[in-house]
Amino acid sequence: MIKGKEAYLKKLTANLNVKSVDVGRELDGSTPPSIFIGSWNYPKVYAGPMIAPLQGDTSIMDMPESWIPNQKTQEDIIGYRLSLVRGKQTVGIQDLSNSFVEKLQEISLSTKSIESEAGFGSRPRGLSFTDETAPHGPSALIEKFDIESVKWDHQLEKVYYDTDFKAAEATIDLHSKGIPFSSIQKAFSVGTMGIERNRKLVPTRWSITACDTIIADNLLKEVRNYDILDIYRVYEFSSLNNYYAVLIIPTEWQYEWIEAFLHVLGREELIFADQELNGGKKGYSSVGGCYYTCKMAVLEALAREKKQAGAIVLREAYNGYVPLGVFNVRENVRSAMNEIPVEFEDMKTALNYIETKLKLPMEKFKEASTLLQDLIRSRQMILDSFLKI
Amino acid sequence: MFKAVLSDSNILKTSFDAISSIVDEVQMQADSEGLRLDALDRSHITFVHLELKPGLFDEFTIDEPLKINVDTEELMKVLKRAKSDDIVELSVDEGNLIIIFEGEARRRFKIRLIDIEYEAPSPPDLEYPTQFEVPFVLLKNSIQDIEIVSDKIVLMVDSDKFIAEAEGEFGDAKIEYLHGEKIENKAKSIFSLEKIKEMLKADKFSDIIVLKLGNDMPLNLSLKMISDEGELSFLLAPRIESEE
Repeated sequence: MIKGKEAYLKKLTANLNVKSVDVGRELDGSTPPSIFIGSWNYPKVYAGPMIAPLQGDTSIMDMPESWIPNQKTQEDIIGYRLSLVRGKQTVGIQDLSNSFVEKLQEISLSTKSIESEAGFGSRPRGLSFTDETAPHGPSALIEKFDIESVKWDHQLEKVYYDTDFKAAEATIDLHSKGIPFSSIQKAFSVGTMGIERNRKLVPTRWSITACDTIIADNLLKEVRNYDILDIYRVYEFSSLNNYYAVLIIPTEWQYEWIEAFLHVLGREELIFADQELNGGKKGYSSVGGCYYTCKMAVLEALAREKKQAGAIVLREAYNGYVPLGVFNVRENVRSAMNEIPVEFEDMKTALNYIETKLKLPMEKFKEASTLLQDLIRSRQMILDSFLKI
Repeated sequence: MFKAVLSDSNILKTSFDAISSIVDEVQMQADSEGLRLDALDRSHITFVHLELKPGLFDEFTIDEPLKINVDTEELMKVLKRAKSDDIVELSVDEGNLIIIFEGEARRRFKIRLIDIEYEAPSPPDLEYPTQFEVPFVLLKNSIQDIEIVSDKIVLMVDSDKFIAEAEGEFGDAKIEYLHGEKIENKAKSIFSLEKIKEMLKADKFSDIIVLKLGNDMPLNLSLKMISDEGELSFLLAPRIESEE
């Protein structure tokens, strides 16, 4: 019996039959730009660059935003990621004046791929698949590391030099200026934003959820001021052995994430769900970072339309699905929200429609849910309905 | 010219603690009858009414009726700074609401008035089969009890008891209170716990709550000062169970 989502995803990636790139102790290559900060042994963490044994533009390898819109296949994505060789050194999270960390900071601020030379203590080995961060290729301790001179992104540079600008505010500011999420997250992770004395390294997986949460909370503040949508809508998207349906409901903000993993490993049908009411969520979500990244993607679309609504997001992952990191959820939900929705007059017909697209009966999703079940069982009335009495 | 002086700063603070969690913008009306506010939240679930009569104030001067439009979050930020023994003075000057806290020091805040198109909503005029009083603390505690098991609450009243209960996935909770009032009818409605909690943030307005309850009807919850010179009341739309 598999308990909990994290354990399940670990099991999914434990026996993957894939090969990472083969490199020697000396590597002459290109960083997309990409860096990785581990969370193991925090606050003394493994930090370092990720370098592909290629020359020229490798930016696509660490740019999840472009994968799904450009219809990259799972093989393409895994291929990109396993070509990334991770160099690492133990660094205290506050030790930002270290010249190795300074180079990582430069990488995170770069506008384009950077030619790099690395010498490793031993031949890089292995590969990494996790539930939340994108996979990467072999890793080894890095002993020597040089990069060509870097042209900095103007917006990221401004934030870097503004040592009175809070990291959360900088994150919101960069997002509103259209800087890609992955660039903001890298800058956040390597301590190039925030009030000077608070700057530190943040493990990659934590920085992803931190950025998603900061952006989502800010969007929600905005969306709360908008009028409530007056119709039910279903937005859908399928990619990488996943189907997503976003049911938008004409209520104030409330949100539930329900995901089913169907026969990915064998004959299992597992459903995980988490939810929040209008007041928001206390504590960390039981389903992990995807909860926050999906919330962010839905709120992005509501803010763009200047409307308030509630959202029930259903996801099915099928045989062939490989956990590639929470970007997978973010970009699929973003893609769904960019599609033209199907509109419905009531919840029942909307759910009937979604059911025709699902492999699992809707009943199973209802059983696993809290908010969806509540919405079906009882309905919040509005005061207007009592005016006519 | 408008000037209102209130020796108990808690009245405004506790009222806006609730109001600011329900509506983000509000229009207050000041005239010879006092200070008044009617607001409906964006989702049309909660209606709030605040009325502070001139007699409640140590000083209340106004020469012509005035509309004061404010961002409730900004107002609350300032009111939070009030100490309980501060005297509060309100006035309006060139597009600002001026709030002065007079205590050990004299602290003066300006809050920009906002432009809103605002039509003070009028609440539905409903007839209720029941009306009774419960101690504020009792309802507040009941909400906290219920919260353990559910995010919805069933409120019921009959000739003997006022009952709050909930059924949750992992357990149930039930609170019974002998109200000692003359009630001939039974009434039962379901409400969102989250919404009731917003209203009960106003925990320093009055020790007694007047409840009006019907069957699948909005909850009428009213906080009245003993002096009858202040009232903070709410109307909350119920949740209705689906037939299927």
